[in-house]
Amino acid sequence: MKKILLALLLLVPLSFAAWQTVAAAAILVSLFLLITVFMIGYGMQNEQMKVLAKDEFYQLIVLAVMIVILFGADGLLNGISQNAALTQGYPTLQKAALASLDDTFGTLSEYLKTLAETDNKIARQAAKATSCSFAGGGYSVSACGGFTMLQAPFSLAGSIAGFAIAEVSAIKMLTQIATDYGLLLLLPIGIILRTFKFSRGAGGFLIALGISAYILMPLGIIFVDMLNEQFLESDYATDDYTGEPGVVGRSCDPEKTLGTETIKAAKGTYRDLRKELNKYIYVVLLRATMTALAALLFLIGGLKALSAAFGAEVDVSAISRFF
Amino acid sequence: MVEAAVCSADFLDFLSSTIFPIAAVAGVIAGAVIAVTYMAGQALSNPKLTVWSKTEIVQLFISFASLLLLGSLFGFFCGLNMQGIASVFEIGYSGPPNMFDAAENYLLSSAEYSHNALAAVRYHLKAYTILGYMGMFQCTSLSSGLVIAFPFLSGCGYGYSGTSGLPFGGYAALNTALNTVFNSTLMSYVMSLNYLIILMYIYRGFAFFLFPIGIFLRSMPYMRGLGSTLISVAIAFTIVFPFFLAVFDLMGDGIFKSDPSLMNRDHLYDADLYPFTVNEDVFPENSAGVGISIGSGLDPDLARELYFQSPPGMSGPMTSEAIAFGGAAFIAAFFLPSVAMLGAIASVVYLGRLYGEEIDLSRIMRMV
Repeated sequence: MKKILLALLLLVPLSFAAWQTVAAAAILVSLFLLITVFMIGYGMQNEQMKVLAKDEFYQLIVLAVMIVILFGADGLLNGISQNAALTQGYPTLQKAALASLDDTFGTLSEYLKTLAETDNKIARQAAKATSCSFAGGGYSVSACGGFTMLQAPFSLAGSIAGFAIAEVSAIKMLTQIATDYGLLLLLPIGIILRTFKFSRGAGGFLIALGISAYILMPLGIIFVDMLNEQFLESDYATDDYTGEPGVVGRSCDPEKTLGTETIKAAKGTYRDLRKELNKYIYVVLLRATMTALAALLFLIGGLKALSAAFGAEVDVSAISRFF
Repeated sequence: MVEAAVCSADFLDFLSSTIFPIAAVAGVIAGAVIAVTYMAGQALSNPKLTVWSKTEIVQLFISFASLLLLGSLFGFFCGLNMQGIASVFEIGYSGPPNMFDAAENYLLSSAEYSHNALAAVRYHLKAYTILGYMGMFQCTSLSSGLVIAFPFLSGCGYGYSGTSGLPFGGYAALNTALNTVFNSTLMSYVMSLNYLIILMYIYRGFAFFLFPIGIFLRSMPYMRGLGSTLISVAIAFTIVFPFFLAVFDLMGDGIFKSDPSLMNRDHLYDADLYPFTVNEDVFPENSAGVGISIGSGLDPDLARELYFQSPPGMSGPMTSEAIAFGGAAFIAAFFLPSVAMLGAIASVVYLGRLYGEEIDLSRIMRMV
């Protein structure tokens, strides 16, 4: 026991970085508090307080071990971050994930523009109406009305694409925050909070959040990238999934009210759109939505497992309901 | 700022003149109940009652220790220098100095950020809606040489003959995309305000009233669970919740003033560049309405370009960036404050266990 105490006291001079000094100071304060509790328990012959003090002392030992592990874990986490199999040519896993999200965002932006231009082109045809009136009498015919069948699918497509852009943007912001502050701020503060009994739950939660967001979330993004690459190389994927969709939409003459020419124009546009559909599906669903889902799954799953390991039970289902 | 509420002399007065006396009264009443029970146990030679009294007096001591601990923690956190903490972790921070103000600062910043996102999305939504309803009428044969020479021969001469249309009627896709994000961003904004109100409510002292009630209830038979919950809620919401938010405020520079390469979002935050994306001035003024109408008749794209001027060095409408801004606002104003709330609730469970009671907050969690 005395040796362990001595080892704990030695943590202060052994510290190098500033936050480790703060952590060591927190350990010493906690040690002082639990010695006080133990003395009161001893004086009052209260077994509960003595047991509490002893239990806390073991927690302090665990914490000291965690700090030591963190020195090693820092290297381990960086090792995972810089693993060539995961980084895809970038210096770290996080940078690879951010680059992937950037690329997805750029592609989605272009696709949304194409979608809007196509929608606009088609709607111009759909809105055409020929009218003729003279001296109060006349007629109005909407010969290109067949194009209106495409308006509802376009609304839905716009909604999905817009939501995908928002999702990618949100995940990118979270990844950026985790990259900048996960190990630098959340992890050390979590360890310091875990020192004290009353803040142990919050500390465990912050440690879990720091690690999950820094490692697991980018990992989810990269895994989806890898899956997509495999998919494109497989026999199931056709060339339809790659390449950039173009603006489609055939022209309609509203004055040709007789015959099937205007109907053919609408149906032809519909068929042209079907050819482009897979390109949208690949980016909007497989790349954007799946990436966001996988990233969150990894984050929430990691948060649940790690927070339990660090002594905080957090109902992560509340987080998953946000999305 | 909150400083006036939590870390001021007025607040310490409130603690010493209101909370501590009430807690003392609650403690005295609980102590009296315990003493009477102990005496009854002695008189009746009932070991159950005397053991209960001894246990309760320890619990009463723990309750008071919690109150004193909270008082000292408040002093500690009020004196804590956030800039100092930021320098320990080697990050830039320009927010307020104490933890409670920093927590409020985070929520205010996130509310402002989500409001800016809301303004950007709303502008685009409005512009596309206006453009979507813009009508056009092209007279028959206006382009033939004869009609140009004698306009009265055209379809718009004596009669009314031509083709009507909606040059920008096809912005339904963008409108629904923007509508979806607008609703989500509105929710983010409302949530940040919601958390701000909760924080203000905590700072105004509501949580402290839970202490005397908790101290009293913990000493009552069968009421320890409720008493423990109240004390745990008080500690978690007065310390842990603001602490999490203050930590997020330390990351404020990264959250609210992102790197320019981050989806070119900086120009959306920079007030000097607002006119290019969200300022209403880019709408055609009423006095220019006729000119715009005539111009649009000859070239419909002219109207669109007036509604969507591009920031320097960029081209085309910034619709995707506005949508992305809404997505980022979700993280800043909804996700992170909710994480702080979850952390506080996790602490309630942990503290409850410290007080010897298992608290099931799964029902409350569903409300978050």
